[in-house]
Amino acid sequence: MFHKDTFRLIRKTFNRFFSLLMIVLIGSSFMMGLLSSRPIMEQSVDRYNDDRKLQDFQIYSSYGFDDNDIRALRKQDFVEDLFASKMVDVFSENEYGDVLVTRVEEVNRPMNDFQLISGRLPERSDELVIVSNSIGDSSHLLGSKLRLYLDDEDLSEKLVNTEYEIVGMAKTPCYMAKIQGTSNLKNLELDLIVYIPNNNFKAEYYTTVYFTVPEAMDLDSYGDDYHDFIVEKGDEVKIFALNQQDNLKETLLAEYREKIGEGEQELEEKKAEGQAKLDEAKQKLDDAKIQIIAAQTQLDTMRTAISTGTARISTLQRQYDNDYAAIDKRIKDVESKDAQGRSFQTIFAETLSDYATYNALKNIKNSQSISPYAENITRIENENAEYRNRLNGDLYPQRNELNEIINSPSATAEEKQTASDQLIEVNRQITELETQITVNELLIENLKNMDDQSGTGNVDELIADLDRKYGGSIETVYISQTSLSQDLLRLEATREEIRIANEAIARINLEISSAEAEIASGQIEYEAGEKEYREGVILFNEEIEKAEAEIRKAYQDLEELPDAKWMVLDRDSHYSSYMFASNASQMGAIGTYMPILFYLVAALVCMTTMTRLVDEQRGQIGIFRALGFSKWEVTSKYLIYALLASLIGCVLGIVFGMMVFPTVIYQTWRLMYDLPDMMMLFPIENVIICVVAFTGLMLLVTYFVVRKTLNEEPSQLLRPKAPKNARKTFIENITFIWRRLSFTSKITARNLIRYKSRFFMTVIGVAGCTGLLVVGWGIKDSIADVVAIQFGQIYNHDYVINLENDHNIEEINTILENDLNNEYFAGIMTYSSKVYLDDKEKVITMEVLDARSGNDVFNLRETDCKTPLKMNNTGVIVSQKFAKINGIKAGDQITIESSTGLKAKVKVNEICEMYFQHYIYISNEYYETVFREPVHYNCIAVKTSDGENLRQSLEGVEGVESMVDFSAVTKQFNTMIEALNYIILVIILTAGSLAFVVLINLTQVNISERIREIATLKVLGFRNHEINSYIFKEIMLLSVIGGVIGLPLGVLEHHFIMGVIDMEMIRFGTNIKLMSFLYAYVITIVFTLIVLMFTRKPLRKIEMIESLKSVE
Amino acid sequence: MSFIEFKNVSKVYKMGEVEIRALDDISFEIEKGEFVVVLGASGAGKTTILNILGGMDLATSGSVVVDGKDISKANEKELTEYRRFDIGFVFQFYNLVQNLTARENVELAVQICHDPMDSRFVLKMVGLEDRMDNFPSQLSGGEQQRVAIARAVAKNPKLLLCDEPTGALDYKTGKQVLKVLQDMCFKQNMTVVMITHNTALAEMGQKIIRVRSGNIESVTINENPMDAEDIEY
Repeated sequence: MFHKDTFRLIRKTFNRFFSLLMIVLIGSSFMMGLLSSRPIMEQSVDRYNDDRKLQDFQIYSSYGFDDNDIRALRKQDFVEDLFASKMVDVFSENEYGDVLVTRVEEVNRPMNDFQLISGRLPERSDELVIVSNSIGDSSHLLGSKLRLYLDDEDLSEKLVNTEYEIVGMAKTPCYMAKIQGTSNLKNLELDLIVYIPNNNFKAEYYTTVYFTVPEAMDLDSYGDDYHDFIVEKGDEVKIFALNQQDNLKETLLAEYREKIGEGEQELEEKKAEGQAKLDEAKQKLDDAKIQIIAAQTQLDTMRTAISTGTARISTLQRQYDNDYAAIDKRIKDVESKDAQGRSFQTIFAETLSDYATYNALKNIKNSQSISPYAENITRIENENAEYRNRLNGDLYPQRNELNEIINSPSATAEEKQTASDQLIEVNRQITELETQITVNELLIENLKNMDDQSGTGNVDELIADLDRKYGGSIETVYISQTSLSQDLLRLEATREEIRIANEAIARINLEISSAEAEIASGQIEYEAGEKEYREGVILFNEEIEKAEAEIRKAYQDLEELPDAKWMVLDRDSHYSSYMFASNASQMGAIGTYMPILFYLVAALVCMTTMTRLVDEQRGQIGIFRALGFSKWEVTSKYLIYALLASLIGCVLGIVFGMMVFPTVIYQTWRLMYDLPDMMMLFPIENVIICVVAFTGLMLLVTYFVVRKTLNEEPSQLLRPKAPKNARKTFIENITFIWRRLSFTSKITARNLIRYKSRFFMTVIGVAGCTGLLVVGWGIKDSIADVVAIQFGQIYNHDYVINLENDHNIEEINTILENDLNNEYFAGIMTYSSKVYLDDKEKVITMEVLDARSGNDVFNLRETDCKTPLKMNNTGVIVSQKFAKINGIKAGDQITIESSTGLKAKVKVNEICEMYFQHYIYISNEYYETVFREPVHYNCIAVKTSDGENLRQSLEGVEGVESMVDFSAVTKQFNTMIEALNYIILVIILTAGSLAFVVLINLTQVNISERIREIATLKVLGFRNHEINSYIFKEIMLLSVIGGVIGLPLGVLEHHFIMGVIDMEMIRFGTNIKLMSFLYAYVITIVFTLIVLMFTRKPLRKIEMIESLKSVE
Repeated sequence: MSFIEFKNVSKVYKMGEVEIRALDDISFEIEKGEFVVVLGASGAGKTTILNILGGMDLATSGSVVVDGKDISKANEKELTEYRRFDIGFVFQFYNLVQNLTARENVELAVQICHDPMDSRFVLKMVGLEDRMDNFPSQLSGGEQQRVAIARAVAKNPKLLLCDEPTGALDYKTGKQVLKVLQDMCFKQNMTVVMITHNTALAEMGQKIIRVRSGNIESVTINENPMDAEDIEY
């Protein structure tokens, strides 16, 4: 009976019941939906992972894997299924000319499988399947061709086919994210994943190994159990990998050592060979030198000969000149005595013949022979014949011979000298003999004459004739003339000697000049040879040095030989998997905290509604109490009322929430991830939380409200409740303003102060709405901030060039300096260091750089006031988030590691604003002071207006490893921001429904409470709009106030949520844009206006008759 | 032509299948400046007359002409204007706005019409000069009703309608209120229609219209209306 009354009450106050139900519905749907989104997201993907047999671990090796490695791995306990796979990163070009960075994998895969979503699997070896999400809408590509290629290599050395037909589309848990990570091609972003038939791969080694761990599949991939299990297994895998990689390195080291040994031997051989060649050349040069010296000595001898010769000539000349004068006088003397004026020679010849005649005559006289003449003639003729024989047979040939010697170029000066000496002697003999012959011939003639005339002859007479003829004794004349002739001959000989000597000198001079020329050319030749030799030596040394350097390098390389690194990756290392997991956990965090607001508002709505209900029911309550019902019985009526409202609300809310939120959220994440179909879950624990939370809240609030009234005496209850005393507001003290206010404004002002719970309900509800909207846009702004501030403001550079080492940094610096597009750049030594705190050590990235250029490429600034911070040599700058997490303040001392692992204490000078990852900034000088170690740059940050140009100019430069472009990071964040638009839409709808429920509740309560007043005003002739404004002004004002309060509230909530979805490495921005506040506020006011529009009708429906009724 | 003419007015309420005739073809006339008392028991139809006369309800048939204006055919907007400018209304339960002071309640009415009286003057007229700035909850019932009368009168209406103005008041204060109403009529020459079930009050009126079961029982002209202070009830 009593409960019948409850249902009647519900029917009678259905609006109120409905608004209670609605707020519970909205609150619980929101709570349920958000709480369930995370498990739904995670489990859908978990099942997908299991279906596709996603690996638990993946191992990369810096050397690839061979069958031995695979066999060893398969034997391990932690391996369940294993798949050794080959892959290669290439460029691809489709029929539309799009060039994409493409990862090529094997199509036939027992693990990390893909799911074919359209088309078919490859049947021929030149067909392939593409992962569809990688290039957006790709259905039109089915059936088209794809050409694979590499820039700097021939791809056909790696793959059998390089042209394929696309026959299928697939999706895969390995590449769920729209951004698949980085390729091995110059660190370019991957655009496309394709699967080609396995037999296309020519490589001998496997690129990577995937494997699952036994029992892991039974665990939820995103649960703590799986995480702990995998961490534990991961340690085992890593230990195995370490052993394996050490063995591999040993093998490799031995191999390398052998090769280097061979190289060294080869070098030694070449060295010896080269040295021998050089020595030979040297010998030749020395010989040439000796020859030149010999020639020079000879030349000197010749010169000496010339000077000797010249000296002798002058002696001879002098002698000749003296002799000539004397002899000439004597000749002239003889000639002058001759009557006929004949020359001395003629005279002398006659004298000789006469003297011979004289002698013959004497002989004849002495011998008294019969025919003396004939006898003598014969003898003289014999004598002549003998002379001629001597001449022809001996002297002439001798003379010719000597002449030949003297004229011969090959004869030495000495020989020539000797020859010329002999020649003089020979000539003298020839002249003597020839003269003798001439004399003898004359004699023969005389004798013949005498014989003819004086056959009878008188010898003495003849002799006397002769003496007479010569003015005395013929003998004397003969002796004197013979002596003169002798002298003359000698003179002649001297002259001849002089001539020969002169000739010899001339000849020697000639020889000297030719010898000199010869020496000069020899010298030139020698010098050229020597130069060649010297160059040869340098070249040889250089080559040897080079070869030796190569060997040294090889040894160094050997020492620095990268460990045969086996990189063990679990799913968290998989880009998309990790991102998805952290996004899902963010959803979870939001789901946990966001419903608090709804909860609070639900409590206030419940309080307002139930208060009003109980007020209206006051008389009835009094009657029941008067009739003897217990307090508890009366209370239970209202508790049932509230219970029904909240239970129905909860059930509907849970159903509605599960229908809407997970789907919307899941679809939103689908923008970022290629997710499998959603798997609907009904997490029963969330249902319980929801029902208990809301029902409990409603019952509790109702209980307190009802109890308050029930505490009054029944007799009091039967009387109308003393109206709450109207109170003057503070504004009334300012009379001139107050008097000007319309009565609606006055009423509004007073009501606001009178009904505090309504005021708070509305203000909090509206503030919550505005706050939610601020949060919605704020989240977007914050994430946008990470990009905009981190990469736009703090990182004052666009690219980072990674260096292999700093050996070639001069050249790279020069290239950078000469590129006019570069605004500035700075070398950085970046390495992962540890910070030693009291009880733990934390990993952090160290950035060591020159203080001046560092302040260009990093715009470090204070966290709040954005004052620029300068690096200096007295301490380090620590990034904000790291400092916050670890409680580090400016002025603290912290212990950090150098790049080689030395520890040192440094002073924290400043804390800087930072959004992405943790950093310590330290200047070169300070680093070197603290660690006493030099700084070796390993990357260069560049701000440039033309990155592509820079990339090209650095292409192939030694020491440059890669160039990282920040635009890829920006792209990734922008996709995320796009996805957030849907979340914002959901937030707007949610915020709207919150505002609606609160405002509609307020108007209902207000109207129901003031029906009498409104009816009265109508009777008094107030027009509709005047009556509207009587109710609206208050709501509008509350909305405006709520909105204003909502803005800072939103900021707080936003701060809070950003703190919750916090990722270890990212600090989201806390700034919200002015426009976001504006949107939030304007939308709130629009919601209010919509509610007011709906309120007009019930206001008009209020009957004026109400005013005539008695007060209850 | 009279100031108010009620001609063959019927009012039928439909409650589902049932038709209730609240007024059954009634006619009467009221002259300008008259103090009229409509008398009848509960459910006789007097409130319906008041509603129709006050522009709060429309007659089902017949015509109602007030000062030459037929309001029986008026639309909602015209009725609002009629109430606003032509009618002053005094409720049984005063119906003051709790959140406004006495003076503000009067000003509330003053705000909306063309030729209002000064609110202070009107309040003085009803003897509440000193209580002007009090809220209704701080006033006694009689005082509240006087504020209500002041609020109605301040509009300077053509017709002052009073619905059981003393119904919620004790005898003494009731008489004070009746006196105020009578003064309004006789001194300010305002047409006053007072509805009551109390026959004792009928003597005050210049015209007494008796209503019973939706019909006019009688219309009596009282040449010598009794002074409100002399009425005993």
